[in-house]
Amino acid sequence: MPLRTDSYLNEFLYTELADVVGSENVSTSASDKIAYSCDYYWIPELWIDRGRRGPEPDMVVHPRSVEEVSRICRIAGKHGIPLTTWGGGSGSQGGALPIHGGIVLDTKKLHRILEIDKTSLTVTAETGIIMQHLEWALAQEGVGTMHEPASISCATLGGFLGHRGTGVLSTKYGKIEDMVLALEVVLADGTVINTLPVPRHASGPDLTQLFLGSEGTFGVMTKATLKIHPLPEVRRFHAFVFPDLHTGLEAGRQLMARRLRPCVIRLYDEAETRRLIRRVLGIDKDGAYLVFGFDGDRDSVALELSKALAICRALPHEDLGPNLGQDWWDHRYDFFFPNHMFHLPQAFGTLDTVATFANIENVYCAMKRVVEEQFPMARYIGHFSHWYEWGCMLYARFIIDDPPEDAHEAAQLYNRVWDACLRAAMQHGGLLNEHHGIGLKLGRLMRELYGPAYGVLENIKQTIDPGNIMNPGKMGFPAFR
Amino acid sequence: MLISEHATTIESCRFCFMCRHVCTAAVISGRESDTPRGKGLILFKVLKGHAEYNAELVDTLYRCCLCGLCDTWCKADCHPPDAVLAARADLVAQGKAPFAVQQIRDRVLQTGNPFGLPGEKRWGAVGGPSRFRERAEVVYYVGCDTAYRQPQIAAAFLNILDAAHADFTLLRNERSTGKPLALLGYRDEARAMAARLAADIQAARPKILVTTCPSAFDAFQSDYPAMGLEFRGIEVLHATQYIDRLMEQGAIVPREQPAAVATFLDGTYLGRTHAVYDEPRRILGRIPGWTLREMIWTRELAYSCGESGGVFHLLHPESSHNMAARVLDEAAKTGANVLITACPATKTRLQASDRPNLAVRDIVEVVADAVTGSDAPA
Repeated sequence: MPLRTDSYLNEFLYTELADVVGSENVSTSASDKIAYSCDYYWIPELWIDRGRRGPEPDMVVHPRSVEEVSRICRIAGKHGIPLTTWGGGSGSQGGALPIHGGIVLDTKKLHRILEIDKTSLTVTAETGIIMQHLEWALAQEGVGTMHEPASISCATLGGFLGHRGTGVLSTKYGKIEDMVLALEVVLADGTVINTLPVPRHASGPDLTQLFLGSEGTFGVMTKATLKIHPLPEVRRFHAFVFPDLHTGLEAGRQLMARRLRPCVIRLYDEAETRRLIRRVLGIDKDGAYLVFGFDGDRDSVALELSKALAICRALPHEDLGPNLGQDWWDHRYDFFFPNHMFHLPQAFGTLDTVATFANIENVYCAMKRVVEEQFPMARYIGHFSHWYEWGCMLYARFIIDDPPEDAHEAAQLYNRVWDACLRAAMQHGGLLNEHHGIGLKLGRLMRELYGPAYGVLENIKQTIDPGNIMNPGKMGFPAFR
Repeated sequence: MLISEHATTIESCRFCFMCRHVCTAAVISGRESDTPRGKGLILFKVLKGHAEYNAELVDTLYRCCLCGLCDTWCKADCHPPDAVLAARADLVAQGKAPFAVQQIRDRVLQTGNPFGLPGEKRWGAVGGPSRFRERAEVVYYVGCDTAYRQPQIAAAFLNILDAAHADFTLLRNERSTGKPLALLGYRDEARAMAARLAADIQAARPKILVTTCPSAFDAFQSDYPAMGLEFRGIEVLHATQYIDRLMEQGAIVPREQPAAVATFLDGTYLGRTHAVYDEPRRILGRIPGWTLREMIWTRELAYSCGESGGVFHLLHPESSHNMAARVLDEAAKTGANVLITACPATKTRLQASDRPNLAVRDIVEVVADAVTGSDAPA
């Protein structure tokens, strides 16, 4: 059973943890219990808003080294206490919520940059570093990971690794799983393992990839080596408005099929163009706004840009020029500040998914139909923000401006929209998620997504964490018992 | 509850993560409760009656050093430090201030300074009595941190005033501006202290009120008018603004100094609050022999030593120490051999986290050396 805060056993646990990290790095404060009971997931926000108590940890620990993490895991294992890893806590899927109480292991004091290797262009850092801090430090050396998500200021490197995160430059530089070379991981029994120092080997399955996206259910990632890149000489943008989403998707597909290497392609559907692009960027156009960018050496960028412009101009379009593309880049994070972001009392969810070019428009339309036909109280908007040689990612959203006041009713409605939309997405070749993870929010759909293959994941979880202490109840894995 | 005036900030910050990477307290502690989001969550619960202030929530509200970097970074119209200050006033009104906070209040009220040192020792190293006049064109308000912790800065500024042949006086009954009390939530007591000090200042009928203390500068510029205490006909200047003007007028002329590479640390009150960024840089630029090398984080994004919390270091010495260490690390990256501040309290914090090969000086000391010291060796 999880600990009860008023149990005297708590005192023994506290003593053991304080012995490892010092009492200043163990908290049972009511303030921290509130702060760690809510991440960026709408349901805990709703709970707070309606005056309910969120899932609170019994204790929060702040280890400063991998050795301390290892000892904490052993203590949790010995007492049979759930241990939930928390990086920035800015995940949108409830992945870091301590839903069974126990220990929250906050990684933010594991924030050292251990090595910047300018010969190989790699950086090795502890995983609790806030990504923006890493990026700023690298920029001083003239390099960067080019991982530039909107959550760069609030999420940790470990958070991105744990959820297979992505940034706005992913189309050229890849998602975090494309950037990472090697990991150090602490397992549930306290064993510290290192994956092989480089990927692209034929020495068996890639253990690095096994831990990516595992959301703290397989262990605690404590160190990672990532690729870095020289800061580009130039980064150029250009924006278009296409008459409709279909034409915009075709433009993006042709850019990728031509095997150009844009760092950004971002295509907003008609609804987002009308709403968000107008409000944040002041671009008052009907149709589908598309911005793309290229970066690198000046002459290479000029060449690729000219080819991209020719592709877009061959389709029905309005050319907005470079400035209205640069504006998007300059304001790319503004969308997420409270004055622009959706917020309670609205109910909202990001139905991010990914599919091949052959399927992605059908996925978009299928989810849109579900929202419009089954949930008339909701709106549906979307944009396409991460592009691959074979397809792209859809960042669809539903918004309910006036959800039920009752928290239970609101949560049930919310979950029904999710289930219906994502089942429609899966039927048309989409997945449950592209870069936010599964967490608590979508665990119930994992078996439908994977089919019999989910059993493989379950068996790995059972083997690697037989006591089920590592972030139990997430990713569809069993609740803590 | 005063926090109800900050409901928009509280309701926005409670679920927003966008400034956590610049929050001085949270970056140092790693604790979610120390972020503006954490405080937003707590204050939302209090605001809605879902929680009451208890010792742990109160502790969190005093762990903020009020550096204002959250405010600077925010692209919405949110002001977390104002919400925190309102919360402190609320919990003081409820009689829930921590004992350590009450002790500081008592010391300020009894001795006129937060350190609890006797008033007569205020002028120990400055030679106050010889500087008291009934009336003068300039009133130099020294401030508690300068008088008790960095008297050499006051002495240096007096040398500058002398070199400029300024008609000035110190305040015979100088005491705290009251700002530390306001920052702790004691608004009524702060106003009473402010009113007494304002009356003493006005009695000297100066044209200029100048201070070496950014906290006092902010009190005179912002807090006092907000309390209805206007300095009509009196121009309030920070020492850097005054020195910049003296140099501009040719009233003081810096002489060649031994070659030194300096980096300058902007602060919360002088920088982020009142945008006094250019004056210190102009001053340093006019001193022959000095070279200025900027830190990565300067001006409105400069790191904080927590000095903006007034007495933050008395409540949280370890956190304050770590904040200073972080600034020193940044300063060292520039290759400078001198870190210059324009804040005596900041200098004290930085000296407490001493680094070899990196001297810490107040800009007033640097100017005094250049204006009144001997010429550099040829």
